[in-house]
Amino acid sequence: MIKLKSLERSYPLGKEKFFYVLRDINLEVQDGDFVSVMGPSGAGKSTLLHILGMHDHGWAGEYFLDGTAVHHLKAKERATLRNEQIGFVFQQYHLLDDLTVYENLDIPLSYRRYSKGERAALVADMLDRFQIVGKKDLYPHQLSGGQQQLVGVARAIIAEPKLLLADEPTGNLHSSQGEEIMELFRKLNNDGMTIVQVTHSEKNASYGKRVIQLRDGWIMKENR
Amino acid sequence: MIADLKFAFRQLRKSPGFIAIAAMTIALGVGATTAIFSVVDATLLRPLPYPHPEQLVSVQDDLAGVGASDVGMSQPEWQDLQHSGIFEYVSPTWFDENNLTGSTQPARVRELTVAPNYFALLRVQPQLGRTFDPQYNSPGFIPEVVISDGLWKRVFGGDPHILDKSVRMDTDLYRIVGVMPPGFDAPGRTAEERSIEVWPATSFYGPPLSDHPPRNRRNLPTAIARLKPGLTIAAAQKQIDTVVSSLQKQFPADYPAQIAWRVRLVPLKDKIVGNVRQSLILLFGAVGLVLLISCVNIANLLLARASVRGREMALRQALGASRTRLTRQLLTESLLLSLLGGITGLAIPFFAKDVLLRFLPDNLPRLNEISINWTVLLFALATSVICGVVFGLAPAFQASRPDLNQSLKQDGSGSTGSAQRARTRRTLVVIEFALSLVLMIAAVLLFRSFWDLLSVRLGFDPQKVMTVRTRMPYPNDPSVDKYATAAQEAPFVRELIHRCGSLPGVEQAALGDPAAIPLDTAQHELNVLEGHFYITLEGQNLAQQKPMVVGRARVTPEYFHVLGLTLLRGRLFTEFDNDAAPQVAVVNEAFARTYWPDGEALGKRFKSVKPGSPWITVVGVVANARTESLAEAEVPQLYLDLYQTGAKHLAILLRGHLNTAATADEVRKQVWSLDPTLPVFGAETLTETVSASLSQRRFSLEMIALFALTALLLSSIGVYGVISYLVSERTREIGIRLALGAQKSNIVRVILQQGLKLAVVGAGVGLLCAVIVSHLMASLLYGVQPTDLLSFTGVAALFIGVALLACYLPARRATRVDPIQALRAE
Repeated sequence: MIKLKSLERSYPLGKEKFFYVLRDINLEVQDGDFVSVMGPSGAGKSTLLHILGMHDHGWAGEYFLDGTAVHHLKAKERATLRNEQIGFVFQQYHLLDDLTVYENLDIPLSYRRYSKGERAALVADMLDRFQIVGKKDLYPHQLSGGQQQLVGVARAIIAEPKLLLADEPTGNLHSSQGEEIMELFRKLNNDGMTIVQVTHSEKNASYGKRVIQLRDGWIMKENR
Repeated sequence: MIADLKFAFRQLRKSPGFIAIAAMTIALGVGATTAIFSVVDATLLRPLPYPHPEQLVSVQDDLAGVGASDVGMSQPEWQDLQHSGIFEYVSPTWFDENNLTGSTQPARVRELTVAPNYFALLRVQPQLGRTFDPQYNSPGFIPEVVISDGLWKRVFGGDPHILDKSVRMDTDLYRIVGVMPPGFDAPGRTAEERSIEVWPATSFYGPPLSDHPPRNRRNLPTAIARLKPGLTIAAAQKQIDTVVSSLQKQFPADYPAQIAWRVRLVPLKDKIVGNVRQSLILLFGAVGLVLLISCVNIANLLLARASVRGREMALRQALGASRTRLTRQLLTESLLLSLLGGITGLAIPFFAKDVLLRFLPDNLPRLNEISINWTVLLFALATSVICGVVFGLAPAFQASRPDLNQSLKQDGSGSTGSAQRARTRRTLVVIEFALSLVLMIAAVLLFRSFWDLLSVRLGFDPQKVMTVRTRMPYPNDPSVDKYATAAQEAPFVRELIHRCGSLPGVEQAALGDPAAIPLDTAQHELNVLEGHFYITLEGQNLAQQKPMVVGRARVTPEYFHVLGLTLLRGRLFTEFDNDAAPQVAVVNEAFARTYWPDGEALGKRFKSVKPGSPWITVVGVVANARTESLAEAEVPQLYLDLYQTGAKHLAILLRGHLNTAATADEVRKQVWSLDPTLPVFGAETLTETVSASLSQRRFSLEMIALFALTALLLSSIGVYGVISYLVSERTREIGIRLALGAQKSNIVRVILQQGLKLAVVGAGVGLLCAVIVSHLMASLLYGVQPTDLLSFTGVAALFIGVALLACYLPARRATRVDPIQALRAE
């Protein structure tokens, strides 16, 4: 599913000086894999995730997604590929405050080629699947953190991506809410979805199949 | 307070960009408003520069029954008013242009023939000598004149021994008895009427006038009066009405009931300001809107600033500052800002006064009184302070009540008040947008009126035609008048036409009186009696018939060819129509249709109401031409043969490939070769005359268009500011949308939609207001409906387009939001 070869991400510090966030990253993620990226703050975990999610374009190296050489794609082509393949879950949920649950779920579909009827069906299906039908007209501030993240996950997978990227999905939740989300991830993975998550929690990492340890931008070790 | 002021200085100094934009916006609003206020102040507000100006009135005679107003009065009527006990003094005034001879070249001087009480009426004193004895009441002209300071210096070099020296006007000798002080202007509407150079005086009977002027001969065109002290105009009007009804009973033959004679008292200032009042009020309203829009922009800027300073305000409050204290601090800042803008704005009228004066039409009343005086300075100061307080109050009020908990927890970029502030800002932009739209619609309606007026079919051809004017003498002793009759004047006229026709470039020449110059509005105003004629038609019962007032021009036969007027029926004048032949007339289609609606005008007869006037036969009908007014297509007009009537004021009309200055010199030579005592002046092409007739409309249009464009610019800046602010507030949301797969076009659409919403609401409100405003200015429009659909929808579309353009830049910026940065900022 994902193949990274000698991937590097740096920021210029001054004349011919660079600060490296990621160095010589070589990584393969198979279809149906569930990878947890761990490491201390500043290790480059989130940067790696945003590169995988094609939010960050300033990297060097090679990145293949489902056989497509992302490093050769133009920005617009990357955006299309991302829309087809990737869903993203954020630590702060990032629901749009002025939109209802229903509208928040509809947003990703509105940016893809779905007809109005298809969109309505998909949103209804997702509300049903996540058992949040009764909350469809509520605004984010009327939901608990766990419910907001539930909507965040539903929104991430509504366009049926093959790859789900999650940046500390339970970071803002208390333990029972966190477990609920991780169980959901496990179920999605069991259904065939590839997941890459960034986490500080060993417990959350244990839901996955692989753990990658990052430190100062380098992959230090990998546990299976 | 001092601490507030110091802090305000420091705060403003910290944001030079903000200060520059805010101060320039205020400067634009205050400057433009002050500039127009200086015109309004001089024209409408400032009292006339004579002692107790509230007692001064214009006395106007109306004949409502024949639809005529301000028709002038007769000498006996003047005497009746003078002795009615209502007035301290009443003085007829008679503007004329005279020939001053005796110096190197005959010069044309502006003369106002007045009653001997004129200067006593105005309560003004000369700088040298004396004025007339107000009690003088002998026939004829007093052989004395009072001259202006300008004439004294221009012609007599400021000679301190000028008194008792003689000047000759129209061959009559006058002794100079007084010189008026510099800056003294006669109360008049136009620059010509105000800059009088010579004042002769008469009791308006005796040579050259009639020894016993008849009561119905209204040969005194205008009159001014001073009310007795303590008498209001309303009270005086009541007494006048009583006098009038008693005179009507006493002289029923002179005042038949059907003409409905009435004497009307009008405050002299109103008479002078006349028809420009509405234009100036419209202009002041327009510039007021620009000021309002500037202020709304400032309020918007201050609100944006308040958002940025949410954390500072919260901190101050947490440290113990009361809301009043915070409001005062913020108000001090906005006041300082508006004063800075106000002072900068004052530079606009101060330095641009000359440019502004060039914009103003020459016939604007009291033009020379426009100045940047203390009233204007105070106005600018007060406007700045009011703007600062009123439009600083809302932002100050909102910023002074931050939610401490939220504001201090956040990074300072937002607070809970931001939603309310955003709402206020959106409302302000809608208001600003609506106001600008109103102005632009007014400008477009005026432009379309102006354009329609320019495009009307004139009915005459002004191209390649120029006019030059001269004036025959009018001596007090008719026996020395060598041009006393038409027959005496005819050889001069005939020879002058012949000579002018042979000048280089001239294809054809004609002569007429000034009323023959089409659309010469200034001249028409000055010579009310010259251009109008009271007639009765043959075959109608004279006792029952109302006299009719028609436009009348006296012309030579060539006139119709020079102007390109089309003969429809009958014939034009010929060489056989001389003073020995029965009088004939050519009338226009409107005249024929108005007075003989059921039949042919040719061969019909009419005559002047003046006793002893001959019958005049209509021999030709020409097509209607807009010679009286561009706006009116069908004004009855009659032409008499100059060889049969004669005229003292003459206009020489020339057609050909002409150089105005060179041809005027040639004409002058020809006139002087015939009579070296005649002045030659007023050379102008007919296209200039036509253009000048639109000067006041053009002025209103130019000013309002200028204000409308300024308003459009300001409101675009306003929309831009608000959308930029909203984009910055929505950075996180845009980041999320981009992260969720939004394309740049999706983001642009979302932002543009937001701008579009504001624009559409603003346009809706603006269109509603514009309907009201356009109806109020209906009298200024021509050929276009006040609710002209094209203008309304066109302007609304333009505004929405401009608003979208103003939104596009922030929308483009929004697409450059880095989702990682935006999401991390959280």
